[in-house]
Amino acid sequence: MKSKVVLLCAAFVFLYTINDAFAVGYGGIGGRPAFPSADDHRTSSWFIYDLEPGQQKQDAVEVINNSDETVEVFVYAQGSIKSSDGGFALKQMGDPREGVGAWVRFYTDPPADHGTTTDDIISFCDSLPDEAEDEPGQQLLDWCVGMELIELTLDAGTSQLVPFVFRVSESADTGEHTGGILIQKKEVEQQAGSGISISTRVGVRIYETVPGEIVKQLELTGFTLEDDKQNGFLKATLSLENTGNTSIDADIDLIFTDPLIKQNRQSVKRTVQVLREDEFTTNFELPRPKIGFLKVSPSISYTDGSGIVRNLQLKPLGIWIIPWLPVSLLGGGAILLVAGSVIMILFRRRKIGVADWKACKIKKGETIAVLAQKAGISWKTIAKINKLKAPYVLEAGSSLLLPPVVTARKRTRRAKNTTERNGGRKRGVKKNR
Amino acid sequence: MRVHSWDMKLSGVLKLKPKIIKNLAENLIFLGIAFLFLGSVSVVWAASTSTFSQTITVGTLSVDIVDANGSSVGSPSVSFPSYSFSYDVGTSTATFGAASQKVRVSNPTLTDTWSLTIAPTTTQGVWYTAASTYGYKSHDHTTGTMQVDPSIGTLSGVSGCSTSNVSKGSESYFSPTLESVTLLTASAGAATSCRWDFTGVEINQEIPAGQAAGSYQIGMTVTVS
Repeated sequence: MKSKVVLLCAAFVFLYTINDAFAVGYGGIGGRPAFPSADDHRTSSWFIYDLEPGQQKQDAVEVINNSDETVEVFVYAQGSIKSSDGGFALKQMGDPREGVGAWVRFYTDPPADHGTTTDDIISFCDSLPDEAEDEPGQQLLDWCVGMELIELTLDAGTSQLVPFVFRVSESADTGEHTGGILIQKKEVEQQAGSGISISTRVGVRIYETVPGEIVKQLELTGFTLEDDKQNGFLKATLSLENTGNTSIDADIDLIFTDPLIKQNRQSVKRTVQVLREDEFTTNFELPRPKIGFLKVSPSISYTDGSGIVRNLQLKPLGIWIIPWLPVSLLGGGAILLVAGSVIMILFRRRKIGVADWKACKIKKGETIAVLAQKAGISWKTIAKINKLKAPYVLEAGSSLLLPPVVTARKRTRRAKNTTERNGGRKRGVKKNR
Repeated sequence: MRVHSWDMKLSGVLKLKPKIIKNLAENLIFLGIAFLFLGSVSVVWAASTSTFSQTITVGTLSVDIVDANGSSVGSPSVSFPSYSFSYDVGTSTATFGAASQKVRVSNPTLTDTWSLTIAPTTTQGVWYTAASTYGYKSHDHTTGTMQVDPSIGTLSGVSGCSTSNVSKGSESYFSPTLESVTLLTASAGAATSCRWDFTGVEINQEIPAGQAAGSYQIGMTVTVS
């Protein structure tokens, strides 16, 4: 009985502990909006507001420690900063608080025994007099100012809600203002020696749009195409400038045709967010054809403030892809082949004295065998040089390349015949009578 | 008197030995307690339809420097090779995101858009040693300029995650008007509930002519937002 009771208790403990729901998360620290809106899925990751100048709103960020150790973190807000390719980037912790970075104030628990909580900071603080009558009152007024930065200690696998009040500046102009709430480890172990010490942080974006005339205007400022032979792809770079007063989602479509398979038209699509007054650059890695002329056409579309879809197009760029190494090898090989053939032909001709051969007219009755005998060479040589084919019949009056021996004999014979016709006198020589 | 068969069975039960009765009672008590305990534990039992439930909460976007096994590195750093003193401007090159110190971005959220940047931890920062300093954002490349080239880095998805719509940044110099360099940008359509490792980012530091010898350090912050 005793053993059964022990077994039962063990089973109970086991069943009770496995009932906990574990959050699946990756290592490191992170943050997210504590109260996302069901109407906008983006609010699960970003704070999205549309407050008027001077308006304020209470919210909270959930700071999460996904690591397996206790961490100490700073939580602070900062405004946006320009980054090399455009896009979202935030200022550093030590930079002055400007813009959205100055519009966020964090709140820890209020001073004790003052009967308030962080549930409704704005209403409570608005109810306080402008000047305190005593020290506790002053403490409350100081607390109501909020903090630019707070420090938290989070145990492994835990999270904490940090309330804050977002107050839009009275002088904020119409349009979008961006910034973020950053969570950064407090201590960064400095490495010994020299080099760069790396620290990491996470930013939860804040998008505040002051209502009014919203202008959405995008310009295409650059498009380049280069051949990255080393990495085996073509790099297309597109630059866009937002001259409006709010961020724009631009749809990019790069269309290109395979130079060898003309019907093989492909496109690479991407949607990018270009922030207000920002120049955004995006890089594409396109498949590199083996050979041919590749033409790439960029097309960009976005919706302006009036809801009209605008299209931006640039002239397409083309690039020749020539595999120089194989082409050089092939070309060089072909040249060598031709040169070698010519050299061989010349060598053979020289070997058999072809260079000295001259064209002669064939007389009736002359055969290739007779001519070969006179030349003292094989009839096959005469046939080969003159490219004669079987049955090697020579036509009277046709021309044939023959060795100098034969041609000289022919000239001698012609000269003899001429002398005989002239009465034994050589031309130009008077016979003595 | 005639005795019926069921009378004989009943008399058999009534004649059970005390030990058997005791064991039977213990077992019944054990079963009763067991049911009481299990009833207080909110466990979903497999019924004939075999239905279980578990809550998985969405995680958060994060960045970390991890080793080859995916474990967080305690003091991540970038080491430059030894550089000899020179009366001319020179350049020293290092790799940010080595195999033993990979830049890992984790996005377990449902939002596909994010960006990864690097910037000096202090905008007034310099390369410093005990006795001297030099800069990283000289506009005329005379007092020290740092160039970061993410375009030649290697981006890979962890556990088969796709790198589609995650693009590498362009080669860039820090300057008085440019304090942040984009390493990676995830556009709409990039995978969610995924992790990526980024390695092989080249960092070139121009060292001013006649810079004094010493072990110089600078702090840089990698931000994902």
